[in-house]
Order: sequence, then structure tokens, then C-alpha cells
Amino acid sequence: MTPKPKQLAFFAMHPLPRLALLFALVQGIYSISLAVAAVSVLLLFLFQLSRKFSWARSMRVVLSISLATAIFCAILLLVDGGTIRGDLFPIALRIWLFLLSIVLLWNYLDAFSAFDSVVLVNLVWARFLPTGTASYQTALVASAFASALRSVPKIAMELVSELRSRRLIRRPIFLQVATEGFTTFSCELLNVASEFHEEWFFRFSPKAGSLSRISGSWSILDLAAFALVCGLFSLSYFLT
Amino acid sequence: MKLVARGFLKRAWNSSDATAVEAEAGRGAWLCVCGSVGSGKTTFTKFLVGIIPHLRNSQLVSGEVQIDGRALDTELFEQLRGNIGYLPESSRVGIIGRTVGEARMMNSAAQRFPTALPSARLLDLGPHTTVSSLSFGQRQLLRIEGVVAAGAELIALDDPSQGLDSHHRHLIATELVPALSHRTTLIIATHDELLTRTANNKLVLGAHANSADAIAEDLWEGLRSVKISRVDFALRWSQLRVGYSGGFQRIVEGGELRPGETVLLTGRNGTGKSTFARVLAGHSQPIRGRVEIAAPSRKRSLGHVEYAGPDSSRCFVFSTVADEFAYTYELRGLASFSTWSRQFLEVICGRDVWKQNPRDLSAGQQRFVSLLLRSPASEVLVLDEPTMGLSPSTTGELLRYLRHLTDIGTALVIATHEPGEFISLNPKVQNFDS
Repeated sequence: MTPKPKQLAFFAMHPLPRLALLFALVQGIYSISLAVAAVSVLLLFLFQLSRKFSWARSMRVVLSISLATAIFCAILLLVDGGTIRGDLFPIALRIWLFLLSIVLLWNYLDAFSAFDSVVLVNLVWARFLPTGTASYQTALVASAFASALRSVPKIAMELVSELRSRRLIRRPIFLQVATEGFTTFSCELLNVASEFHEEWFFRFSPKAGSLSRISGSWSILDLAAFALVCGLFSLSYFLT
Repeated sequence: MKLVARGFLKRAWNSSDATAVEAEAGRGAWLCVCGSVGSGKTTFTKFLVGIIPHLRNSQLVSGEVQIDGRALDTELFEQLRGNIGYLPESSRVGIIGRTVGEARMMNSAAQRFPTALPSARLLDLGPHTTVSSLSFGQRQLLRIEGVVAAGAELIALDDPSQGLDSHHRHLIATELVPALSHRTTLIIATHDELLTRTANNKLVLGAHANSADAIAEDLWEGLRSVKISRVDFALRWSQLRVGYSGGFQRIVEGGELRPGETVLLTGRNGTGKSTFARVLAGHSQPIRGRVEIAAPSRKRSLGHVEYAGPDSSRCFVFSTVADEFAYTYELRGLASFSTWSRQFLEVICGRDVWKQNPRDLSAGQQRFVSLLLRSPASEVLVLDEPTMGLSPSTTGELLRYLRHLTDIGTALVIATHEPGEFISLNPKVQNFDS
């Protein structure tokens, strides 16, 4: 039987615990960002040591993944706030990191670009999750967000080009146009995210119950993934 | 899978009039949803596949959809959704991957059923071609491939032939659609005459008064009274190399465009029409060669080359259509054109269009608004597929408007797959197939 969609517990909370949780969120995101930054620096050196990528490209890949991780964690904490003390968050994060490490490797072999890797990981992950759970929705939201993030420079450039073309960048109306422009920019991002969701929602169907069957062995898989990534990085370093 | 729908469709969320709509689709009888611009084709298609109300709310449509005799409620939607394929009208999303090969890899990762069509490869390009270098039409082909590859049993395609050349439109209408309709329940929302002609199960959604008769002659007289001053000029380009360094490139011979002239850029998908149009409009730089405007006097506001691309949804800045026109024209001393375009738009898109958020308009309405936002005072208008997503009657009105612009001296550069539509503008044709 398909589980019922979970209510967003965070928004249903009393204001005081919600404030405390928000404080914890900020601390949590800060700690995660620090950890991600540390791992990123390590990866950057690994990329560079293996002499596969230029510094600029290594930086781009690592920064994209760090940013996407931080955003993903933020969304996960917000949507899944009610179960923050339960098992779901660590399990979800470990599954996500495991998949990310695999695709990171794929990325390293030049098969995928950074943001597409994040989208792919989330979509594949969503496929294993029971429909309607907060984690499943989080995976889709995070994919949509990563996809929208990839569109940021293009949307901004198109907007500026439109403003210039219509002679709207000038003093008397600058403030008004800037305010409207910023709203437009945000709307466009949301539009891209929701269109992405509509289209890809149908393409990846989840298999209900898959998570509960495989969640028991994640620690072994974590180690296996870590060993695999380290081993292959070392191997490529010696081979190149 | 047999689909039966009974619903009520409104034209605007605050409108009290709702039209009753009924539709049926099944294997071998694909459903063609057609109708005028803004008649609700996209909204109703989303309703048929369950996006409304399960993924997105809309106050424009209500009713019930039954699939194989069961009401499409949240539970059935969740069960079926892996078996539904949907191609949205907007081409902004839908392709994940840096190259064509990666995108196809993603599509095959999403493939769940062995029934996917083996002949679904529409785009004739190698796996290493980067997605960013694809033309609008090529991206559309790749998106269609993705939806078809998943092999779902219920497929909805929203305007699949937009931006496609006649070869690919023909391929879709005569090969892909018949093959799909035998295996799946297929719904297509479209203006394409080729598709509507071959459909035997048509749903024509309520048109409102936007026929040619509805545009009164005095409205066109009003346009003639809008005073626009311009100087004699010529847009010249030397031999240009356009495209992407390390990717697709094309050499275009030198040429010249004078006031009132029209040049049509025609050719198959991916031959470089749009790239050249963007270079002429100054939105891209050529790899070699240059484009310049030559005029005896540069004192006037010369140098206005305006561009309307194939994706019109990204050209809006303000929160109402009225503001878009007010800030664009009234502050530039063209208030009389703003007033005229208001009357024109009300005839084409309905009375309440002026108050609406431009992002809430249908794709065809957005295209029309975006074209009217290109100033008639500009010396050159570069339009990429201006009739895409427009119904035949709306296309007729647009052509009449463009003819007026050429009469007052505006030069037009139009990239199109439908050169026949622009014959009345007496165009010069530049074919990119050679």
C-alpha cells in the first residue's frame, strides 16, 4: 500500500520549538558546510594531484558539489525537520553521500558535469524511496533546485539583455525596475524548478519499500564506496 | 489504457463562465487537443494526465478523469505515474547532461519498460555534441526522444512540433505518432496542421473572438496614426563566420538590409539560422567578420536593433502586462502606441489580459505580447520563429501588423520554418540548407 504523504512537521510546530530548531539548523548547516569544505579541499588536491583536471575545473567541480551539498542539507533539514532526531536524516544523508561519491567518480571520468551529477544522484535516489515520504519529496526538490541553480547565469544574462534592449536601465525608474527585475529573477528560478519537477516526476518511478530492505547494510556500503573512491583516485594518480 | 474525462474549463481564474469539456482517448485513437491561443489546451492536457490537481493547482479546470473505469485520484495517480510520459510546452528544462550522449544516457536510465520504441532516435547528431550548442529545434527533438524512450503507457505531448522543420514535423506526424498511438494512449496539444489533419479524435477547445473579422479596420487606422520618425539607414554585414569556437560553425556571405525590407532565414534544424539572427541583433558576436549600421545621420536614436527569440517567456520584467507596456513605451514618448497595442491585445487575447501577470498567460499569448513589446520605432526587428505556438487566425493578425511595420520603414529579419506564411511581406530568402 502506498504510504500517505507526510505533513511538513516543521511548519506545524509551536513557535518556540520551531525557533530552537531553526537555531539548531543554522548550527547544523554551519557544521555541515565546514565538513564539506574540508572534504572539498581534500578532493581538490586529489583532483589536482591526479593531473586530470586544471585548477579552474577542479575548483568548479568541487565548489559546485559543496554548494549543492549545503543546499541539499538545508532543504533536507527544513522538509524533514520533524524527524531530525530520528534515523531518517543520517540514513538519508549517508545514502546521498554514497551515491554522490559514485557519481563524483563518474564526473571525474568526465561522464557528467557537476550539477547534472547532483540531479542524477537525487533522481536515482528518489527511485528507491517510498512515494510520499518527506525524503522522497526532498530528493525531487533538491534535483529541481540543482537544475534551477544551473540556470542562474543564463536567466540573469537574459534578463539584463532584455532590460538593455528595452532601454529600461536608466535613472528615474531604476529602483522600480531593479525591484521588479529581482522578483522576475526569483519567479524564473521557481518556474524552472517546478517545470523540472513536472517533467521528471513521471520519468523516475520509485520502488516502494526499497529503502527499508537495504538500509541495514549502509555502513558497509559507506566503507565500500569510500574505499573504492580512494583506491581509484590512487590508482589513477600512479597511472597518469 | 482508456481515458475518459469530463471537466469544466475557464479562461481566467476570476471568470465566472466555465465551458463543459469532454474527451476520450485510448490505444489506436490518439486525442488531438487543439484550439485558439489561450483556449486552455495546456491546462486541459495537464488535467488529463493528473498534473492538475496532483502536482500543480489550477483554478481554471475542474472535473473528473477516469482511467480504465477508475477515477484518477491521488492514490491511482501515484500508482500510475511511472507509466505516464509528459512533454511540457516550455523547453527550458527536460535535458539533463552536458552532451547529447549524456542526455541519452539519462533517458535510458529513466527507461522502465522494454516497450520503448527502438526507432525513437530523432536527432541525427553524435554523442559528443554539447547540448548548449543545439538549436531550439534540435533541443526539442532531444526532449521528445526522452519522453518516448521511457515507454510509458499514457503519453501527453504539449506542442511537440514547435520549432521543428518540415522534415521533422512530417516524421513526427506520419511515423512517430502512428507508431506511438498503437502502443500507448497518446494525447497531443497542438496548432500544427499536419497533426490536426491526421487526427480522427479531435477536441477543439472554445475559441474566443480572435478571428480576422474581429479586428476592426479603424484599429489598423489607429496604428497608421502613430507617429514614428526614423532616418535612412542600412544594416550591413561582411562575410561572417558564426557559431561556437570548437563546435558548430558556418560561413554566411555578406549582405545588406535597407528600410522596409524583409529577409527570411530558412533551412533545416541546426543549420545556423538562429545563430546568425542573434549575431545580426548584436546578442552574439561572430567568430569572424562584423555587422554595422550605416546611416547619414547618427543624431537620432539610431542603432535600435531589437530581437525576439524563440522562448518568449523570458522577456517579461513586470508583474502586469499593463506595466510592461507602460514602462517600455510611455516613458519613451510612444504612449499612443501603448494605447493602440492595448486595444489590439484585447481583441487577440481577451479583455482581461491587460491586468494579468504576463507569466500566467498561455505560451501563444506570451509570444504575441513579447512581439508587441519590440518597439515599432526600432530600425531593425530580428524575430526568431515569430509564429511558433500561434493559431492560424492569430498568425494572420501578426502578419498584418508586420506588414504595417515594413510600410513605415522597419526592416525585418525573420528566422522561420514556414517561409510560405511571410510571402505577403515580399521577402528576400536566405536558405541555410546549402
